[in-house]
Parts: sequence; structure tokens; C-alpha cells
Amino acid sequence: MTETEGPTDGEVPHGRLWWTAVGVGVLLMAYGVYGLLGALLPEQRPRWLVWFLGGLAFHDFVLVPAVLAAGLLVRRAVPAAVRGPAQAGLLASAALVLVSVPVLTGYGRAAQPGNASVLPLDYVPNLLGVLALVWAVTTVVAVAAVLRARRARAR
Amino acid sequence: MSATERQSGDAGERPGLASGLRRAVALVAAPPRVGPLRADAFGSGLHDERPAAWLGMSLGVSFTICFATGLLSDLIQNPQAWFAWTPRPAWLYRVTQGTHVLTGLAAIPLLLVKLWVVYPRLWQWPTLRGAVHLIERLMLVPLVAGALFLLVTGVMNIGYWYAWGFGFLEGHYWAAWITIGALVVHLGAKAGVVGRVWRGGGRGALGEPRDGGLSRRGLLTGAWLASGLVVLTIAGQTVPLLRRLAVLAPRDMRSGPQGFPVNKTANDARVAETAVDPGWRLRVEGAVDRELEFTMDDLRARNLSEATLTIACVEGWSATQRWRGVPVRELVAEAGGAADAAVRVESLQTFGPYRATTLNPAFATDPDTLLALDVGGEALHLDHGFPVRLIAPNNPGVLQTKWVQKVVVL
Repeated sequence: MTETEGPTDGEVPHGRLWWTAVGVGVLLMAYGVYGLLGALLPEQRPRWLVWFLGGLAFHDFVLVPAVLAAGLLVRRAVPAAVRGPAQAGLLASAALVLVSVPVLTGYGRAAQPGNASVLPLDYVPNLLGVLALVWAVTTVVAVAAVLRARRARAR
Repeated sequence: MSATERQSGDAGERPGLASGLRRAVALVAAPPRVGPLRADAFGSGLHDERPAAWLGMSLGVSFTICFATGLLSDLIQNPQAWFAWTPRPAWLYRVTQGTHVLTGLAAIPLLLVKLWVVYPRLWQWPTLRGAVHLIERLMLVPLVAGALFLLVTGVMNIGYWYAWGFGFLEGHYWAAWITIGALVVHLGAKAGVVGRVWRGGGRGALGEPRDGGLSRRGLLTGAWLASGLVVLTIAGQTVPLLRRLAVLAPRDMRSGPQGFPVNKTANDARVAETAVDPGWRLRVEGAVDRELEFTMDDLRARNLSEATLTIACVEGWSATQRWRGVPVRELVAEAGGAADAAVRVESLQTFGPYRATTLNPAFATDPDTLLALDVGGEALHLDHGFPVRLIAPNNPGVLQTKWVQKVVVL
């Protein structure tokens, strides 16, 4: 791998625009912290912080490493010709599953037992249906890619 | 280490401490290149400036839209002296709040792909290159934590999953200010890169295929397609044309008693008994010449008005119905209240932040602002606010007070 293709290190920011942005941004953040302290009860503040920093920690040290590991696995296990479509299919599937976690767990429905209009759908079969559609399209694209590669090799 | 060396270290304690500190700082700034700090730790050519910039621009736009629509929704619910919401156009809140929720959902795949693209920079070496670099990196903590927090709490909230141990409104609202502040700083740091990429420059060539996997352009297309798919499977809870595609939406605009959703049931609001009490009366009081009191029969004997109005919920679903009831302005006029008075509509509910709504004069005088008795040609279901509920154009769903017992002219 050559130097330019690696993670770009970028230059340290400088100039008037940067310092103006720092000034404005820090003011906005300070307003946010001030408002938050006023709005949350003392016992709620640590819980808020746990969710705020917990999400970051989970993302940086669990989710992304897992995705990177999955990426290595895909690189080893999936033939190069269909790797692109497979990666795109996995990306779309992961996004759909993540966004569906609250409706899949159904906590919202359980919390309002008398209200059948909350989470009224059958989300497991629905999600499986959408995923099936994603992978049907992925398969078509992958087959097309293989055929194209074969034709190019024949020529 | 020899004895003499240790001795000299002890003797020069101050310089020893200073040099130790310097060494510690140097170690933090440029730790040994092991694990993810190695130059070749992240092999994919997709961890690159150009997809990062394009995804960053998409996120900049979506977070700005989310912030603006969210602030608007907050202002509508907590009006300030300089801001008065209006009942027209009647569809506006449905659009702004639908946009808020759908833009947030669209941002989820974009944010996750973006963070994956720039993840190697978390492990950049040297870790710190001076004070300015430290500021830039520190500001990424509120930026990334805030962005993740907003999207996670938002998605949980539209799924009615309140697992945080703090109020969603306060937690989400103030986190948005923190995040947008960090975003401003980040934009200041990245303006140069974004400009370069926007003009077609930047490192690496978009679309260049690498080792059989996704190209850079393929990655961007994949992220945007995933976004589109998430939106398409949920948008139908507020966009009627897409209703059949909304298979992952937390709400179905036609599901619920009388064919539309309920946010709070009469049982949850503890009004199941008082709402069906035959002694129920609708009272009109406050700054009036004469207080009025109506039984249900009194109201039914009137010449009722009809209007087609939408319940547009903050959670991003909406349902449009045909309502019949008494215009609030008629009641104000009959009681001898001022024509341009504000009006407070109070529920039978004895607790909760939404037990009363204050209508500003524009809402109170709108002919379509009704105390509705009927929906879709039948008396309101108990969970939709029987005996009488408020329904006004362009009014957020939580402010369409149900189980009304009192109209107070202010």
C-alpha cells in the first residue's frame, strides 16, 4: 500500500475560519451543557452521561471492531468477483436490522398494553421480507458481475 | 540500572520529574506503533478522504435539517415572546416533523459508514501534534458521541422504548445543542478538505475499484441506498402514498380505534371513568361576560362544523380524518370573550404536561379549530378523547388535547 492510499493524516487546522468555528461551536456547546444541567434532575445527569459516552464507547470499541472483523471474513470467504455486491448487501442489511431493533424488541408495545396501535405490525416477518428483497437484488447484481467478468476473460 | 544512575536520579528530583513528565506526554502523543496504531493496520483503501468528505457533507445537511426542524417543534410547544406558531398552512407541522424523523433515520447508515471510513484516524500516529490538534480531537468526542446519542435516542423514542432513566425531550434537545456546536467546530476544521473534494480534488480517485471489493463510489452508493431503504420502509407512517411500503414503521396511520393511531389511552391518562360520567359538562370560563356550561345533548343540538384535519405526531406519524364539532371561536363569542383572546383548553386529565393546551389568538380564531365530538361520522372513541377533543390545523399531535372539560378564555 502506498502512502497516499492510507488513512490521511490531514493538517492541523488553522486560520480565522477555524478559530471562529471554535468560538461559535464552544458557545453552542456551553449553552447545551448549561441547559442540560438545568433540565435534568441530579440523579438523571449520570444516566444521561452514561448513554452519551456509552454509545461512543460501544461504537468505537465494539461495533466498529466487529464490522472490521466481518470485513476481513468477507475478504477471505467471498470471491473477489462478487465481493462488492456482497459488501453492499451486508451494509444495507446491517442498517435495516439496527434501525429495527426497537420495533423488534417490542418494549414499546409491552409498555402500553392497552394500546394496540403502538407497534402494530409483525416486524420479524416484515424485516425478513425486506432482507430477502435486499439479497435477491444483491444476487442479481452479483450474478451480473460474474457474467461480465467471465465475458471479459473470454475476450 | 546501576546504583550510581539511581543515585543521580534521586539527587536531581525536580529535573527527573520534569523529564519523566515530558516522557509521559511524549508517550501519550506518540505511543509505540503496535496494534491499531500500526501504519498498515487498516488495509481497505476505502478509509479515505473523499468518501469521508462526501458522507460528511450528507451528514452536515441532514443534521442541520434535523436541528432546524427539531428546534421548530420545540418552539411550537414552548412558544416564546418572539415566536408565535400559526394554524396555516395546515400541513406544515406534518411536513417539518415528518422531515425531522425521516432525516434522522436517513442519517443512521450515513453516520455509521462515515465513522467506519474515518475510524483509522482514531488510531492516528502520532496521537497528538500539539495544542490545536488536541482541541480538534477533543471536539470529536461531543461530535461523535452526540450524533450517536441523538440517533439512538430518536429511534428508540419513535419505537416508544423509554429505557434511559431521563426525560427524552430534555436529554435529546440539549444534546442537539452540544452536537451542533461540535459540528460547527468540525466544519471549521474540515472546510478546506470539503472544499477541495467538492471541487473534484482530494486524495484518491472515486470509483477506482480495489481488490474486487466495493469501490469508493460503490461505498457511497451503498450508504445512500441503505439510507433510502430505511426511509422507504418507514416513511409511509406519515406519507400516505408510501403507506404500503411502511413495513418497519412503528405506526400504521390506519391502525387503531376508528382507523387511526392512539398515543395515550384513556386508561393511561386515568380518565376512563370521568370521561364517561353522565355528569360531564363542557365549561367556558375565564375572561368572559358570562360563564357557559354545556351537556353533550346541548352540544349535539348545535349546528356543528366539519373540517378535514391531520393529527401530526412529534414521533413522525400522521393521520388525516374528517372531524365534526364546535368551533372554539363560537364558544368564545357566545361567552362574550374578546375576539382576539388566547384560549386554554383543559383536559379531564389531572396530571401530565399535556393536560392543557394554550391556543394563541391565531389558533383560537381559526374557523377549523374545533372541539370535536365526532370523527369519520361517529362519536369519538374513548381513546381518541371522548366526549370532546381539541383538533386544530397545524397543531402538534400532543397539543390536540383529549377528554376536554374546560375552555378558559385568557
